[in-house]
Amino acid sequence: MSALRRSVVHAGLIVFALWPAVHIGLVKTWGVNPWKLAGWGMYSAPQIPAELRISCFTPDEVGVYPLRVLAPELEATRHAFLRARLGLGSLARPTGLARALLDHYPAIDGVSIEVAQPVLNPRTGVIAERTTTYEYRR
Amino acid sequence: MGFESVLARLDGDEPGTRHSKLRAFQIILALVVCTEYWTKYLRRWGDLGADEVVAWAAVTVLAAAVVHGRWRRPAFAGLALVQTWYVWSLFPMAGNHRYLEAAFALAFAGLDDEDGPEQVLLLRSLRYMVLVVLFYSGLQKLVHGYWLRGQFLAWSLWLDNFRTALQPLLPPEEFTRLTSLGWSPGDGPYLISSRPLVLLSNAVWLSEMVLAALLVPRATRAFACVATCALIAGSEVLAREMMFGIEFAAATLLFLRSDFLRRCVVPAAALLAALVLVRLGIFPEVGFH
Repeated sequence: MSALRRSVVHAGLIVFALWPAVHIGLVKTWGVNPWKLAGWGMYSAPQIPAELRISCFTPDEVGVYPLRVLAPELEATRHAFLRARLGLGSLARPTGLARALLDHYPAIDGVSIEVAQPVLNPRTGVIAERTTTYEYRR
Repeated sequence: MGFESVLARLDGDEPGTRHSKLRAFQIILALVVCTEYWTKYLRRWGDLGADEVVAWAAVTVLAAAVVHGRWRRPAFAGLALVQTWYVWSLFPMAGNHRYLEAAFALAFAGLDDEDGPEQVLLLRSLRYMVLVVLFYSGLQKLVHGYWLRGQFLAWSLWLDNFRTALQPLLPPEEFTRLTSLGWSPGDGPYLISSRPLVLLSNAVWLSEMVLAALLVPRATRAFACVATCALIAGSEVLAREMMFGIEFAAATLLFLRSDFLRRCVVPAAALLAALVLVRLGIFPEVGFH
């Protein structure tokens, strides 16, 4: 066996052991899903999907209004974002969804996307909500 | 002390058993991967994309090549590639066992299971990966804090399997309270007062970490092997992660001195075949992943 092959295997095994430690940091810092991405944290924490609250900005006197019903053509984009968010936590940003909204509704000049993430507080055992708001202008 | 000497601590085989163990694990791994695609895609028959059909066919052929044995290394390279495609296509939501299967397959593709030094490194690598996965499974439960007071088990009661298995361990009023909780802000507390269940909850993460450590010394290895398999079997009652369970139990049995794993190939194959028959509707429906 060549020294190179041995070194490559060793390097791979070291990365294999170090990655889950990095993964724990990602979970703690950005809310990455511990069940996913080879951190071996299956069943270590609840997985609860986030909800979205979308508001549109208009250039007229209305100013801002909540978008209560999403156009069916945008559902797949919304679903893709929520899925990415469930896996990647706050590393997944709703930029694609915002772009799709701005393209679909030409009368608006911006959108606000509030991501409401239910989180089980391990100390109290009570569900809390962590919200992050993203604003995009045309 | 180099990394090689760390890996050497994982040695310990009866003479002439290494190849037999590796072949047994290769066959079980290939059959598990193949069964995963069959059981998953049979459920979505008629709703599959062209890429999924190609992956399904490829995995079937590649698994057959591994079982046959002659072209097993290129076949494992193919399996690693298909699993990488799967992880990519579902990113970031692919299950962890897909990553592990890709890593195992990559090891089998890259190292010769018949060549002396490569065979030794291959077996060490597989055992090392088992330790890492087992240890971090426990550590993640510890650091996120949801197993210290049974919070995760309380939350998981919304799942049928968990509800059925845990009900006998909870006082009726607590079971009723926990199963009525929702996921809205303010809902809770998802805390358990039942002492046996809190002890069980803490025993899980502790066992995973301790058993990973006990798999290393040869004196405790056989016990740790049996205990880890028992832990996997116990967790199957709740999680029903059949594919991961079979695969990980087989990988754990690589630690045994003897080639006991060889005797597990036929039962594992029979169990996997039964799971396919369940999906085909020939056997009665049972929930599994």
